[in-house]
Amino acid sequence: MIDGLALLDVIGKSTTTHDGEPPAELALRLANELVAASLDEMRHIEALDVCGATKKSRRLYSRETESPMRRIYEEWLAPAQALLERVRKVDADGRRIERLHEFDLAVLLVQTLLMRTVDELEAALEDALRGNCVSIEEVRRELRARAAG
Amino acid sequence: VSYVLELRVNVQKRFAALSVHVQEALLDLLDQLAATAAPESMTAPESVEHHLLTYEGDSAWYQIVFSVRLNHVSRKLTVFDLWYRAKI
Repeated sequence: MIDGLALLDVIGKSTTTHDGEPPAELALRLANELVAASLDEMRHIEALDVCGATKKSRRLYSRETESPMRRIYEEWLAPAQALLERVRKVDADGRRIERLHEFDLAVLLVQTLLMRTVDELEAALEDALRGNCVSIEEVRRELRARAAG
Repeated sequence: VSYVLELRVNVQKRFAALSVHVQEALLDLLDQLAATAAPESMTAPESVEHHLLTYEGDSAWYQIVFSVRLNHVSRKLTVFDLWYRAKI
């Protein structure tokens, strides 16, 4: 991912205009570009991950490809989190980051995806295959009781 | 033909910890999956899929990922793992 925080720092501290553009406006434009670039990259990573005829499997959860896929997500996530923290402050200061919500959700998604490993999923599947399951009717009954109570 | 749905006990416990609105959204999605499930090929008796649900309420967002095993012979859909992160 493009690590543009250093560039934002320099522009943010600048007191002169850049090609006629005031530093505050330029910093906001660059922050929006960096968010867009990160989201674009995430779209490509997602396309690398999903697989299978119906695209409902993930290479992240396949033993053969788990490690490189995890690394790809982690390498995206670390700078994305730093950028998110920065642009949240920009947005909170009243300078609007166009795709902030989408970016926030993307970071949350990757954090969620990385929570599971193939080992954990295989253990969970084995447990289910041993019959440690409940019917959906039972789940619905509990939900209805909870909603009514 | 709709597939029969079941949840692993451990999944049911995590499911029960979610708010009622999120549970309802998840059940709707599971019903939809069960109603439209079909084998990817005639030679594969079972398959595993990973699904994602993004739920955005008034005060919280959830990113929920769950894994299902589809047995195309017994026509059973088992949710064997479910995990999520929430932003409240």
